[in-house]
Amino acid sequence: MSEDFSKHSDLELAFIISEKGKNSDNAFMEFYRRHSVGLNAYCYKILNDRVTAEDVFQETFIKFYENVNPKLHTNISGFLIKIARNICLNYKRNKKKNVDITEMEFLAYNLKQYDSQKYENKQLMEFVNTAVDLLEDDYKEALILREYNGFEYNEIAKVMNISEINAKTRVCRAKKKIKDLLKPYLNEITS
Amino acid sequence: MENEFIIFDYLDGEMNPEQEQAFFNLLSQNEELRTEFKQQLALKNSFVADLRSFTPDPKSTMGIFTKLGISATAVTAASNAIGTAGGSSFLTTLSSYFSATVVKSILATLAISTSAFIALFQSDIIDWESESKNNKTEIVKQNLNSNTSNSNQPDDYTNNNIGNNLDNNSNEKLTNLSENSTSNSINKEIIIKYNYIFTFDTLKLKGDEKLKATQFLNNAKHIINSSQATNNLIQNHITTSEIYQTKYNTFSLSNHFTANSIPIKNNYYKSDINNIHLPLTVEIGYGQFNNSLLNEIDLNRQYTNLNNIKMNLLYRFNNNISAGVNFSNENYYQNFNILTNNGRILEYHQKPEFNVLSASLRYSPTFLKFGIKLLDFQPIIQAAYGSDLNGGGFVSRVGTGINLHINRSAYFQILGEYSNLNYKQGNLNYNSNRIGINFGFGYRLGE
Repeated sequence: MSEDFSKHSDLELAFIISEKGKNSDNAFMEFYRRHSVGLNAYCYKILNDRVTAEDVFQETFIKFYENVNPKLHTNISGFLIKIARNICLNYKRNKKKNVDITEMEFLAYNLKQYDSQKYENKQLMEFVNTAVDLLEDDYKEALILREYNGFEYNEIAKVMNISEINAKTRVCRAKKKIKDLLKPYLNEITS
Repeated sequence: MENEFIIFDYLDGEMNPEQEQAFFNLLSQNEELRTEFKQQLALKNSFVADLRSFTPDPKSTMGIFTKLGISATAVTAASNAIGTAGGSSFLTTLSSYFSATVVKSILATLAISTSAFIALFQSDIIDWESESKNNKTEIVKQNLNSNTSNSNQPDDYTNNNIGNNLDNNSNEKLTNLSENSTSNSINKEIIIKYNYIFTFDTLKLKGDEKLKATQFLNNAKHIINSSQATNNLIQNHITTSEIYQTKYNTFSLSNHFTANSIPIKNNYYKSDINNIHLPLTVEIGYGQFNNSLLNEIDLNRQYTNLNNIKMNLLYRFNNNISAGVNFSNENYYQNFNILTNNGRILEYHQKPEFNVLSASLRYSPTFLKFGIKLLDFQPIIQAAYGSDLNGGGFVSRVGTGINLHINRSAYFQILGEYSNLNYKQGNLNYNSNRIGINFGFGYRLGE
């Protein structure tokens, strides 16, 4: 019977993975199970391109498996995100930033149309998605790390090399901006 | 604005019970705050719902695991575990994908193994085994003796198939080889001594991470406690005071621990062998070949067999590709009849011996790797080309088989192989085409 790794902490899993022993594969699988969804969301939200995000996602886990050293990196999920962040930054550096005005107009149009239609939660998700994409990069990243990756503010601060207060401020402002963008819709569903 | 921060704090779980109570009171009295709260809650829920849509594509997952050379078993097992816990659908898909791969791999392996075993056990090799062990030397002597009146070598003979003549020197070489027969048994004992080194001694964590490290070590102790042998070790050598030992604001354990009776499977221990970081693989094997695929050379042989002792030293370029050198000692047993010009039939029994040094290339497709319980099965394909050290001829080999891993480093090997020996007899070139099966043991250093 193979060992149950579900009760191991990330740090314990990292130790086992770094040993590259017989159990490292299973430990990595458990680690992957825990963090793959969050990392996938991070890559996609940061890059806003599914194909590139998929490449970065794969590259991140491979680099993680090969380089994880729990003696150097005690915040293992932070280390994972840092790998992804560096790869994402490299990708973005090579890609000219393009402000998509049509996307903003599309969101505004849909929100105007809202009054006459019955929307489900799916629509809210789509609006939120679009709104997140419209955030400035720094706010967007802080929000994703908080809401999608479940990071504490001090962890966000370490990943983004900012203070903890700054991290909290960015997350709050990001939420506020989203709320402002979606105000017509949110007012409707809460009235 | 202040309302928003209060709500953020509540949703982030950063309020203590008193603050929460105050927040609820405020919520019941303030309509604006209630609206704000509902909106924030809707947003929060939409984040959670949105996250579910980012389940990785099974192909991405498979791509990662394939590139890392991780066995499908680990993925499937973990997928099943998630499946029973009501987890994401991608893991179910992934599980079925890998199940299909595993089934295909098992079927392919079974087909190869079955063919090899049938070839081995339903052929003349069994008869040959008993005959060669009990009567081989005697048969050679009897035949040589029976020809003494006419000398041991034919004066002249006619090829049954192509009608070529061989000169007397060729016949002499063939016959002389028979006197170089050697035993093919292997009596070797390998003793491997492991020294285990406790690895926590190198753990160094800084300042505010001490708490996490302590928690980890406590958990690690719990894990290690599952092994009785290590349990004793920990109880004997680690104390709480040692765990909390601090030095220059770092966290460290200075003790080294050794033990000789701990299973190698425990990940917290390393063998000295594994401290060799050069990715080399050493193998030793024994094989038996039979059933010439073609009617070998121009002689009407009854059958031809080959014993083979081999040693492999391979350098692993990555998890899939390795290359190196192969030394093999091959002992043919040949039995053939020759019709001479004067109408006599001479029966030959002889055993030429070749020491072949080859360059070998191996492909181990990790995507076909699969596991059954604690054993991992790694299919392999390999090719080798080399020469007899005494100039006897050139040997080409291709084979496919399975490495059966008992742990990440050690494995048993079963390999079906085709062997072609190209050699010169007199002025003529001959090709010996055989199939056979090798059994071996290998060890991967640097794991």
